[in-house]
Amino acid sequence: MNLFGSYCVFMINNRTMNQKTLLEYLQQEKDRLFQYASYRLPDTSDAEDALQDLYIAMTAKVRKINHDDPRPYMYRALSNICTTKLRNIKYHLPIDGIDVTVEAENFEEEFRLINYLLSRLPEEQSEVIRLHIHSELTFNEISEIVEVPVATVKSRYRYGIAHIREELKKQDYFKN
Amino acid sequence: MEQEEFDRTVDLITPKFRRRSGFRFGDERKKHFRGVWWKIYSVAAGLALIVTAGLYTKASASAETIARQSIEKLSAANTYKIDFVLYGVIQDDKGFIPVPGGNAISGTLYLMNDNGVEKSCLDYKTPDNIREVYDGKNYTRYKSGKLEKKANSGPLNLLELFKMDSASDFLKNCKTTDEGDYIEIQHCKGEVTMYGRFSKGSKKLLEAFVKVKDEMLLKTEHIEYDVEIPERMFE
Repeated sequence: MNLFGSYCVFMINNRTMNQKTLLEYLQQEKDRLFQYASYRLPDTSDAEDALQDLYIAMTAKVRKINHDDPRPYMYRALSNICTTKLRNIKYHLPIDGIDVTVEAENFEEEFRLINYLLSRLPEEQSEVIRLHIHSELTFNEISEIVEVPVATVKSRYRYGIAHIREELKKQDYFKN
Repeated sequence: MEQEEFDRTVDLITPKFRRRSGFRFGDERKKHFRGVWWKIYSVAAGLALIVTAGLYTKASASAETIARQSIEKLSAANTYKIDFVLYGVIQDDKGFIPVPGGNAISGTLYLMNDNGVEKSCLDYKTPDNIREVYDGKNYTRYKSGKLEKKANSGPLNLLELFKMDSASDFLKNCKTTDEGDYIEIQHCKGEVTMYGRFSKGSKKLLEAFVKVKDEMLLKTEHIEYDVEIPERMFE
């Protein structure tokens, strides 16, 4: 009888230079990854959990990742992890009651405001905006992550901002 | 005007405040569990098998005698209490998955033979105090003391694992070491190493662990047989 035959998932193969390199990549990107996660998920512990899940997931697939640049895989995986977590946390963003003309005074207020505005967009537009503004990635880098041409990335970004602008106009934001 | 509004929009959604974190990749970290669909019972089954596995040895007659006597003692017990630490990750669609070197979750397994009916209770030391109860007919899950789910379910059949013949196939090729007051056994299969340490004197299994290629997957912290377990644990 194999104790772990039916339910044990063996993910770590061995400690090789590739895994060490992967860890170095992750550490280099840590701040940007954390910013991305912290603007998707409700609190710091959730964001840290997402990074930990990312680490485990990437370690499991270290041999399949492009070691020249693992970042596309990194951000795609983190995005999926955050999406799944949000679904299970059942975190509901307030749909009403956000006054965009009131300046946010702390992280939580800013988090609610930004996520309220981004929730108005199709996911492909909000994702590009998050990667560009929150994770400070270039459009070329985002193109590799979301696997569409750079022109499409720029277009999604532009249309996304335009949508938010229309939302802000409804609340007379630009009259101030 | 349009460009100015565009720029102001971008500025509005550009974060001014930042969360801080001391997180480092590769550091061990206990996870915060939120509303995850738990399916750890299979791991508890593995835990019970470790307990059984720890009692076999082929190295010497005295060790075999001790092992046989220990098995008899284990099999004759009506209650078991095992404190364990399990390593893994949460996959939200699958629950907790054991992963060597993953995040640690500790808990306690309570197991009872109630006149032929197996009852088990798993208490996980998580922030929301997940508890899973199998009373032979139903599966019940509690979170923070409140009922979260109830469903028809048979027992985990962990007691079945304490029978000698169910472990015999798994327990071939054990390496046994006589360590004075203790007998230690190791069972290696591929990259999986199971280890058990039991007392010659009391003939009880004292501790056990499972590693996968030197990464810890599961370990026991305390094992007791025939302990007093209140009936309400299984309600």
